[in-house]
Amino acid sequence: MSRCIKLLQIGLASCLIQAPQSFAALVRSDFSLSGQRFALESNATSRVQGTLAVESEEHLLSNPRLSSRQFHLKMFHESGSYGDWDVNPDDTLFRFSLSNGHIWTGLGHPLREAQSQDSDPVPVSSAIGANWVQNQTDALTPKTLGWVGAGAHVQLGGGFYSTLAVSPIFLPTFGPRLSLSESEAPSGSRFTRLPPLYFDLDGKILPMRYRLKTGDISKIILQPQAFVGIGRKDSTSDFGLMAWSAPSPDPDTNPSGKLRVTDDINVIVTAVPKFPRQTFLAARWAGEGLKLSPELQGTYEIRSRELTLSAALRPSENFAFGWLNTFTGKGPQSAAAPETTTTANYAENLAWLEARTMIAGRLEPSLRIERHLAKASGQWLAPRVSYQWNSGLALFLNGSILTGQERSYFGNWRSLDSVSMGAHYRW
Amino acid sequence: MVKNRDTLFTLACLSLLMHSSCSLHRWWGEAPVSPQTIAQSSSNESACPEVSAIFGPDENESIRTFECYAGQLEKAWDQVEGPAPDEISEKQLKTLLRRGVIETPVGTSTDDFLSRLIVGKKILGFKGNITKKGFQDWLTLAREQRPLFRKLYQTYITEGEAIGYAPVRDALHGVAQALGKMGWTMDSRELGESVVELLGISDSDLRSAAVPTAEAAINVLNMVCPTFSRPDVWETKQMASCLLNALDQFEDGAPWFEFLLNRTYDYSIKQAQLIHRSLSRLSKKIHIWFKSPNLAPIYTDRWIRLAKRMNAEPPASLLDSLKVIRQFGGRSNENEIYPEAVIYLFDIVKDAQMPILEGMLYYVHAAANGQCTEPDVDYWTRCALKNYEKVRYVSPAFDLALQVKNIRYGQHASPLNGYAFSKIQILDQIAKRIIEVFDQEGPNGKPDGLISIDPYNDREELLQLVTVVKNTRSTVVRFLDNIGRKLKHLPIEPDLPTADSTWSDAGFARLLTMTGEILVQRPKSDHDRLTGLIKNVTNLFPSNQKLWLDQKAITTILTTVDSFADYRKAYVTPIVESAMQDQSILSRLTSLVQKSDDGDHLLDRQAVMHALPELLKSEFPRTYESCQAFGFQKSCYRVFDEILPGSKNNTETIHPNDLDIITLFALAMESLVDSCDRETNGGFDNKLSWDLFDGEDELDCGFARSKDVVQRLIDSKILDLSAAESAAANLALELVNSTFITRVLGKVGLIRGKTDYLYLNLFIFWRYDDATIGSIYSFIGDIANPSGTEPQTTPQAR
Repeated sequence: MSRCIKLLQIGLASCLIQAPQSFAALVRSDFSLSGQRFALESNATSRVQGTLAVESEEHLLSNPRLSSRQFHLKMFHESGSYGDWDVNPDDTLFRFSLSNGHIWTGLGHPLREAQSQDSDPVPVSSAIGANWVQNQTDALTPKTLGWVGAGAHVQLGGGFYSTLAVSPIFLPTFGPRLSLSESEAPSGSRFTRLPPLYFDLDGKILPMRYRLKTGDISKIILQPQAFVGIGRKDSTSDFGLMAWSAPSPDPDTNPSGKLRVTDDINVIVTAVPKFPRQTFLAARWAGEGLKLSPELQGTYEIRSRELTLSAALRPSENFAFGWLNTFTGKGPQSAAAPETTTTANYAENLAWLEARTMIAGRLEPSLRIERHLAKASGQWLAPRVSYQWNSGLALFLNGSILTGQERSYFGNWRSLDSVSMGAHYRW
Repeated sequence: MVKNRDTLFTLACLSLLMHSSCSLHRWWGEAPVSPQTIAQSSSNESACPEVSAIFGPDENESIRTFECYAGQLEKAWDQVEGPAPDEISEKQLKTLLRRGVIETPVGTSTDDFLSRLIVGKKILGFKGNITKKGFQDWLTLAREQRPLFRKLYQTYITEGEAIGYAPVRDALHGVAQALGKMGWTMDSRELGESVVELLGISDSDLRSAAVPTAEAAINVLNMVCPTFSRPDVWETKQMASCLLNALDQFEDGAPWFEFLLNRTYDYSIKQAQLIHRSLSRLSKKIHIWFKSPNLAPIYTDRWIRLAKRMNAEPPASLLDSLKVIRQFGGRSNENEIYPEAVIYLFDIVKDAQMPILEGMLYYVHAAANGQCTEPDVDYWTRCALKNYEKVRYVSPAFDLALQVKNIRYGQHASPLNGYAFSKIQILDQIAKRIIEVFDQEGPNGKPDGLISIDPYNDREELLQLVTVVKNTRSTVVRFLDNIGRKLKHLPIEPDLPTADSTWSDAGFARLLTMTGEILVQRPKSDHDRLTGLIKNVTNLFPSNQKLWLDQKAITTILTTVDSFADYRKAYVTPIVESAMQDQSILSRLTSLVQKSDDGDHLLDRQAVMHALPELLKSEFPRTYESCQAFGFQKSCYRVFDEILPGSKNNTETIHPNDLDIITLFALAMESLVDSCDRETNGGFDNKLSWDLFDGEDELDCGFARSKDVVQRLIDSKILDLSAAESAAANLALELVNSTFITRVLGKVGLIRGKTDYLYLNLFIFWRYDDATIGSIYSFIGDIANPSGTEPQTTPQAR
């Protein structure tokens, strides 16, 4: 289903491309090619990754960071049967200036529209980003997605501002490739989180097969979403209160199983994905002008009573760390949650750290660590060294170390440690 | 700022890299996570109670248990899917078994269990796949019938609860519904093989008996059910129809059925009459039902085949003996028994029922009030009354019972309890039919209630009838016993070695028949009545002549035959205990058992003789005491040593059936004394005395009967005498009996227990006192063993 929706998304983006007068000015793109070796695989695989960014030269007066029209497309392709691919439009928008703000239409995130700085206000490691629709196809570097719709950001005076956004179309979180079949075992790419493969029936281990009953996809997609926010920004901080209502980014599959008996026996699980509506209240405070550039976020989902908090500090431009956690309430959803929860939640006691530096103006080592401090602990360690050959070309060496207990978020991928080496070109 | 930033970064990287490098070898390329397996979610529902609670005393618990299991089964249907919705095919069953989702019972292979399931499916009427609807129909039927069967079971197991006809009828209606729902048709071979599969019978004997059992059973159904359109074909719908018809037709017999169903029955004379009336009404229905032309006969060869399969092989002569059935009229013969036989048998039961009911009143009362001979007996069939003399004067049924069954002996082995009393009434009705069949004409040319038999003709039909009764009884008992052994997973007993059985069936029947009249304890009036009818009744059956038997004598013979097995069973313990006490016997017994391929079925003759005092003391106490007083060695021991097989050829083992001669001889001798002993001073002294003024005193009677007993033993070849010895003995006995003067010699012989020098006592006979059982035994022993050899040791009873 996610593929279908993705195609729809691409289609929408294509429509935007069809307005030639809108995109003609500036193209900023990059492309990388790398060879990657996973720890338990005998052969190296290749990965092609690229970004196409087309933006108009005309920028908004109220927010010079934003161009009046932009089309971003991110894509990657990995070779091999366990490889994955993705082509994903990202922040493709028409913006129109107002006297005290702007309105937009297209695919965009309301908080990004309100952001005057380059940093992403809703990374997946933030409370709002963790509860927003994401593109997790590139599993280790997911990205919070925007809504397809329209919105407005208005300065109210005195530093106050308000942001409104509506979307008639709901696009759920995308993940790595996953094939579910009634006749064959579930399969996917390397980072696919497979559903349970076996059922233990009083000591008899039976394979599980999955039947996905999506029903009418239009009923899933055509669900409205709305966002409203108000905030105040001064020279040192940005504080905002907001609320939004949208279907849950991740489906509640409500699985039901039966023994399917033919020549063999398997447990056929019928999954009916449902995206129950969620209503969030959230607050964000960013001390952009303060010494450690702190940023705090909190979200509260009314029905499930889940509270998510995140904090991030950025002592310097090249060093940041933070924490993200969800406090589970006793709402109806969590009470009815099946016993077969497969994987820990990303936003569960996550500590992260990011550091980089530049040596001799060309060599840039960096490191990102994400670690869950919960019971089912696990961590991801991603060292990287990049050498800027010239203004366009860079060579890089990446590492990715994943550890953790079996069902922890990162532990699930613990065999997928890898090193990759490649070249990156930007123009 | 730059410096601080770099320092911070360096510190962070260093610490992380140290941490990472230390653990890198552990982190790099960890084993992938195992595929996730989820377990069956633990249900919040509590487990169902034991299935037996469905039939338990608490109705609510029963409902809850039933619905719990029903719910689980219905839920199971919803949890399984296959190519066809709401159906399970045999292929799917196989898969479920192979993968262990349906658990195979311990000790059963998957294929075997699958076969059982498939047969079970067929029996339940699923022709192709098992369908959810069909399953739910069965569940609905079970739900409907549950209360009935629960109540019926509870009534059955609750002491004092009477089982009514109505609930049984309703339950049988449920059974009929189930049969109708099954709706299958099979021949006996298919059904027999199906049952073998269904029950998982691995025993080769039972497997081979399954088809013959089905053939015999359908034969019975064809004889009973007029609804069957095709013989020898099992059709459940026709069985259901038959059951419903029978329930409808035979409802008139409800009070009688209730009487049969209830183990304890607190009833009055009024109720007894109600039962009898219902039996009469039922009889009319039975007469109509079993005259239906649609009914088939019973084929005896099927039953004989079945008995052979169960290692209960009837004697080869049985079929020949069964020819006597032709005498009973109708179409039945040794090969086919037609349904009219059921009417015949039912009428016997019906006619016996009223006297049984009459006697039952006394037994039930005695059992309820602790007036039985055994104080702990609480059920009327096991109760023997303390004082029969009181009731015999008010109840003809008891009077009959006391005449045909002497209660002065055998009260441990074969007491006259309610069960024996009931059997006597039935046997009396059988005897009545025998008289009706065989009483062609009496001495005066008209039917007179007497039948004549020639005891020296092996083709004599009455002898054959006795043989049939005796053999059929032992065959049926053995057949049932072998089934019981199989059900307990014990091996079938090997067939008894008939070659070692000393007596021929005809010989035994002959002796028994000839002795029959002695065994009847007739009152004087009866005796006198018969005296007028036939001479030989009073003249005590001279040998080489036809015998005349009345209904009572035949009842006695049949009752005696029926009791032999009880006596044999009672002898086992004393014989074994006796053998255990004597090391020489025990060691020989062990070696014999080891030598014999047939197990322990042959008895050690020496052990039997060693146990003789115990046997007599237990079952024939008067004989034991009298022989002890006279000298056990020269009286009882001597006679039984002679008449038990193998006295002269040093046979070490005897057949268990040979023990019957001990029983028959002992009870004949006691009956002889009882019938000759006259009441004096208000009692009996168990002795035979002189009466100079009576031409036929007790000793006359005793001698004449003793003479007959000896002559019958000789004629039956039970006494192993040479031809010359036999002729001499016969001549001497007849000579002594010929005149009242010479008979005095015989009387003296009875008293002295000797045959030597009798003539010397002719003129001093009054010096001798009375003859006792012991002296009579000794007298007979002297005749039986003219050479006078005596055993060296005489065992003593403990």
